[in-house]
Amino acid sequence: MAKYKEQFDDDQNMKVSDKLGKDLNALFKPKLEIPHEIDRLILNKASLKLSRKRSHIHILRWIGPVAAAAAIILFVCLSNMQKQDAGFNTTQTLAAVNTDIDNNGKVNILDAFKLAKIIESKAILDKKWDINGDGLIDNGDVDQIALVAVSLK
Amino acid sequence: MKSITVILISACLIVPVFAQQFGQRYETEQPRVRFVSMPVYIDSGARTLAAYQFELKTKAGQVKIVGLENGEHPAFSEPPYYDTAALAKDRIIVAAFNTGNNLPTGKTRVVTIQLQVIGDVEPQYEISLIVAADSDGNEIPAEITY
Repeated sequence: MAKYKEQFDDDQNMKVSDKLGKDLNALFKPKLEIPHEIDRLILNKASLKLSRKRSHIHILRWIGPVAAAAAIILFVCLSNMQKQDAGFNTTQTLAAVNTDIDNNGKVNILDAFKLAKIIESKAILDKKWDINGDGLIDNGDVDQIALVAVSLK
Repeated sequence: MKSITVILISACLIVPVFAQQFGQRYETEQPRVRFVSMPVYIDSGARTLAAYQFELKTKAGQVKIVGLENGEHPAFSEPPYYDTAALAKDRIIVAAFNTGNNLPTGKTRVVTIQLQVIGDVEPQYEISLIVAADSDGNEIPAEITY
């Protein structure tokens, strides 16, 4: 970056000594006299091109910090997602605990069967049996327990 | 020019012959595939069967579970519970229950498992009853066969 800066800044490197200038003029000066208008137009176009290049360099200067900021944002997002995953696992574990309706330490079809019987009997329902977390204790929770029971994992 | 024509004609004759031979070899290398229905029975004796859960595993042969059919008794006419991940695998856990009063006793077909058997090896299965229960949810002794 420092090299680019030196190369395109308006510093002394772009100038030549007077003597060398005069000699070069004598050597390469066109035989036809070029009107000042054309000279000015060429100079304007050249300065416009140079300014565009400078703007490119400005963009290049910003790429590094922007990339670093993007990396930081990505890292923060990923760590948040990992935290959410951990939360989901905790919920799953809680669900696994709650699916053991008869509290015998294992989840099988009898847990689903017993919850279905409890729901049918219109008995008082424990909030912890809301396995799917929809705020209701119904056949959806029964199905959820049955699916845990037959899961191959 | 004459030799090029001879070569081209030879190629036109030889290529189909080789292709046919390769095709025949490819066909013979394909493993034999057949579909088998496996009815599963549970005998609960004199007790009513309200709930069951069993596991089926393949011990030998290359088998894929491709589907399940409900049981013969109206109590188990609904499709049973199973993990859909078991499809295209050789192991499955199947379960069902009914909270009603119309329940089967004795030997009843609770489910039929559709299997795809690949190859000539005669498959061997292992089936184990995890639990069977009566209408009160009490575990009962029962026998599972296929």
